[in-house]
Amino acid sequence: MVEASECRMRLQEYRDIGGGILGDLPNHIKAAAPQLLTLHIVGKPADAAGFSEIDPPTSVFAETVAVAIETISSSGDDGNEAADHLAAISTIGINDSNKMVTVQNLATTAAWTTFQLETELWKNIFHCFGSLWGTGDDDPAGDVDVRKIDDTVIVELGAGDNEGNGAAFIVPDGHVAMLYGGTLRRLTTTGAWANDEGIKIRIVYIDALDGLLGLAADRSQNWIELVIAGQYGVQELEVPRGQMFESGSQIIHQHSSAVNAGEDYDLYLQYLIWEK
Amino acid sequence: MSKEYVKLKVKNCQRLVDNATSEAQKEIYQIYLDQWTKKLPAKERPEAIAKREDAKVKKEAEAAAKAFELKKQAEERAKEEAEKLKAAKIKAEKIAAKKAELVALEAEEAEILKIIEVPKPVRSPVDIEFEQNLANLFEEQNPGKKAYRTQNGDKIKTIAFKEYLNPKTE
Repeated sequence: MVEASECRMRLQEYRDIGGGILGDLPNHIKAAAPQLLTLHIVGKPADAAGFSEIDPPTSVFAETVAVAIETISSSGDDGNEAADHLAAISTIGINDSNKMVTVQNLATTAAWTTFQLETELWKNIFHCFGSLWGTGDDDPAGDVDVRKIDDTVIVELGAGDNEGNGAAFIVPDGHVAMLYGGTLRRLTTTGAWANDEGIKIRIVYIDALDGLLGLAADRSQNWIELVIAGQYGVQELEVPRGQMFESGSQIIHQHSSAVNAGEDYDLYLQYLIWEK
Repeated sequence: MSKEYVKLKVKNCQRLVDNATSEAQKEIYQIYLDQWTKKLPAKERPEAIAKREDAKVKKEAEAAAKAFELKKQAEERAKEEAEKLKAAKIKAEKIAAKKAELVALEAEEAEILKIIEVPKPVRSPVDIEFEQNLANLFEEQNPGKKAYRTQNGDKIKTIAFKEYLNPKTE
């Protein structure tokens, strides 16, 4: 069975957070005006019982100094003409000011096949998605890449796909993050599977200190594991709240089938990020 | 990957290097610039182009300097010639003035000489005979004394004869 996963990552600013989500937050966290990072993942882990990263980026982009990036499409039908398809691609990452931001990169020419140097500087890029279209169509005509100056693709939109790849992120310097709940739902029909079958999700976090040391013996790859297995019983669980992640921690999401059979799941995660 | 694409990448990277906001950022962009520059043929790399441009500019500067030098020399020669001509003209004018002055002086002298020249009175034969008779009488009355003497080929009266002709009154 082929592995598949699609992550929808979005970043909301404090003023845009609604729905009572902040109801039980301590006042000092509210005062810090936290951002809300949401990941909505639909996945099907591979048949093997090992863990693999959910919707990884094309390549990891992590610089100690913020630098410029480029955008480009493989089709001349993406661009800023009225009748074009995709006219802007948004990127989520950490900018020059060590803040996690969403930036909309507008096409500046009618044919986006000539690469475009973007003005925003980035230390990290985690995800991308289409955010503006012409009258030509509602999704990209070609593969739209967000890439480094040396043409290494970081994240990308496939032709016809408005959601890019990337489901991992880093807690910006000077900030902390908190896992603020979510939902894991097994989509497989209840009762159709054996008791030991199911899905497993790992929220892996690597502290900056461990990451810097780089030695296997010193690295502490910890994770929060969420499991839904069995034939009967609840096929949905609520992701616990409260796990804190320090400044510079890498958060990577992995999935696995419990037994050698593909399973479908729906995972929704919320993280609050604020400046210390 | 076309050559034009690589050239555009090199141009962009150079712009990033030139506008970097910190040394660390500049270092990263310089790495990108070096990567893309290496993909260009050797003779199209910025350093090769800059070298050719420098040689061209140097050659043009030398030619310009030489032309300027030649022009300066020509101007100096022309200036010298003009000065020589001017000096010659002044000299000629002075000579002409002097000549004119001399001509004027000669004319003046001629006029003066005309004024000075007094014609010698012409004695009549009667006066000459009368004076000779008196001279004979003087010599008879004063033996040993002469009435005339010769000076520079001219016959002139002696002092005694003059006194005989015009005796002094007391």
